[in-house]
Amino acid sequence: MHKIYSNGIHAVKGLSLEVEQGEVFGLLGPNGAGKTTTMNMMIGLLKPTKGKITIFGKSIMNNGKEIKQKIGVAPQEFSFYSHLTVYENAKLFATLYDVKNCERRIDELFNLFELDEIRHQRSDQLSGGQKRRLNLTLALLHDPDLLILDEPAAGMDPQSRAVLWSSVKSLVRSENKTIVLATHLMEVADKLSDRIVIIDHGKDLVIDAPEELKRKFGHGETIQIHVKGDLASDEFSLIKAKVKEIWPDVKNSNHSLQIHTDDAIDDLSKLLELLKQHDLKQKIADISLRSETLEDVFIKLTGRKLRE
Amino acid sequence: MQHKMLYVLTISFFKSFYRNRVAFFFLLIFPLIFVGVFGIAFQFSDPLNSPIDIGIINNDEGVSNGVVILDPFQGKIVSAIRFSDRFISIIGNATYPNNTTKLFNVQEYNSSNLELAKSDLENRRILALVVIPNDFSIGFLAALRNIFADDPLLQNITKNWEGYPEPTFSTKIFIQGDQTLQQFSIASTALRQITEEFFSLGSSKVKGVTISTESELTTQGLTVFDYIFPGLVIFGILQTLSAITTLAMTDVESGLLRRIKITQASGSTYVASMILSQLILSLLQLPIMFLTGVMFGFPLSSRLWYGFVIAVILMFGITGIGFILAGIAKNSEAAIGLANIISVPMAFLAGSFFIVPNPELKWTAKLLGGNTIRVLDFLPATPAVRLMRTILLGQQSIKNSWFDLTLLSTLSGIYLIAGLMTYSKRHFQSQ
Repeated sequence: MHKIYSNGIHAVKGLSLEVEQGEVFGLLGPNGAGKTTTMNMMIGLLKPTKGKITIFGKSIMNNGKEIKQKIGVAPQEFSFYSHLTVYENAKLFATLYDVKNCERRIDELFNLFELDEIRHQRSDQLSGGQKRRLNLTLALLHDPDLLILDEPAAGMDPQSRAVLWSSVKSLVRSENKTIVLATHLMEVADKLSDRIVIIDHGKDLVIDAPEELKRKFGHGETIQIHVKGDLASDEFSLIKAKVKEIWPDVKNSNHSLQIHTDDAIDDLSKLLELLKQHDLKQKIADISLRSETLEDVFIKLTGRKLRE
Repeated sequence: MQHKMLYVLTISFFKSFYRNRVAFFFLLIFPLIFVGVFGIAFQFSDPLNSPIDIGIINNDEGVSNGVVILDPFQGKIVSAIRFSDRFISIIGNATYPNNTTKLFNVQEYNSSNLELAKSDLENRRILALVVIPNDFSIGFLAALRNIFADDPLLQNITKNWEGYPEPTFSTKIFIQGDQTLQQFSIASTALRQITEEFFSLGSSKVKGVTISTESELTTQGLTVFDYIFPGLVIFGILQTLSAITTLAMTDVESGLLRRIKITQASGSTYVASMILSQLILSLLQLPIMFLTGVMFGFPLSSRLWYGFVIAVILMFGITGIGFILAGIAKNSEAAIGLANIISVPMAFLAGSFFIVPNPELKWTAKLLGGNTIRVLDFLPATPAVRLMRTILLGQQSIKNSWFDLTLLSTLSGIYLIAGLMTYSKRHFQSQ
């Protein structure tokens, strides 16, 4: 697919992907990568300049009404009437989706997303997490087979995110939905997606399962060394120089050093030996070990961080 | 059929509106305050009390053919007289009630200068034109014969009214002018009173004359507020333009329209529900405005219903303009800015507060069977103000207003269709 806007911006440049039924598929990329444009083309709001989109085997442009009934979209923005109550919004969208027995469906979803107690509260008085859950509820009222989530965790605290993830995962399992998820948060894409496409500048860089991506493009694990905050810069440079003698590609940032390793146990013991040998132990605040993330994969592929 | 979707969307728009205190204030309370302020300021005021420029063409040929002519103003018998001279003098000396301000600045035209007088009328150099017919004095003699028919002394002097016209004879005075002008209303009312007093000589009998204006006048006793009120109603409706534009842009900018577009609701259902919700608001707003007007002394009559209909038709046109703005503006701030830039000047140009020059497009007469469109008539508020004023003040019947009513309906329809097309093209088609 290609999309060139009337102002000449080439937002999507030859993106090609296939989503399997029943999987959670993540579109991961920085802001402006072309994720929202791609999604808008998938739901028929934008016409591709070149290329075509088929959903459940049918072209979205020719079968709009039929396909729309099978798609639920939770946009990035809170898309509901803020002066209406939670229930009034649900009732409105259930009617617009022509849902039969909508009361039962509304009750189901209110229970799933813990909105039942606030059903008569005005939507503009909800917390950010509650608004996000209402946004998602409205996308699911007509029991769509394909759910498209655009930045579903934007502005949510970790606790609310956890509630949302558990709800979405339970939904996928119980109703066998296909989910396409666009996000710039690698944690979201990593935790929820079965497969991920990494997009940058409107192009698909790679498509695979998160673990596979990390395995293919990462270095296994990272040892992080945090030095004490009051350490003088020449002392920090001394530590860095000693570490670099063994691991030449060590990276440093803000009182910390990162060593990428494929054999964490061996490298950790080497590091401890080195610190002991040069009497540097008392200058270290802590040493930690973390797995490679999709962020590392993105950096490897583009040379930039996701948020840059 | 999407009637259920139409219903829930309309109700949702309406609920969103009335729960939004700012919008509620501007749409319902603001016009109320506005009418109220004018009401308080003008309800006890007299009509205008500065001299009104009028023109008179005197075609009166007088009477002189050997009849014994009674001149009741001098109390003597004359051999020849032109009663119209006295009539014009009375008009020239007439003053406003309870003060010495003259009612009229009179400019007399020769009979041969009818075209000049009409041109002056058209260009508002004079605001009313009185045409005195050639048989004015004969008509006055008929009036005298009627008034003094039973007076034996005058029967004797006039040799039993020999040479006098039959008592049934009647002359006809024409008063011409723009009926939408409050000065014309005042002038024509006063001229009618002066003429009737002149021909009845203070008695209750008014014979020998008929006065022709374009319609019956019921403007006696109206205050300045009464003249202003119809324009205020139109101004109130024009103020809803920014509310409509806001409504049409809010869902676009919040992303709600994007969500609605991927439901089963069609674009026409969505737009129709916005129009319907707006109509419901008008049905609430207008009675409040009319009631406020009546509270401040505007005459309560069945004609208010016609005013209501005119206002609703205009509302469709204003809704159309709102959709045009929402269809062309870059964002809601620009759209609302445009709405404000348009609505206030439109109210002024349409004559909501005072009459502005509105030249006729004479070439339209050929196309419209003698009716002409004026330059500012392309703004839907212009025929609406004209209709509202002439009908509510009883200066013209609904039957005689069919042209303006047709013009208003046509313009409203055109603006509404253009608005829907512009809005749909911008916001409903996949790009």
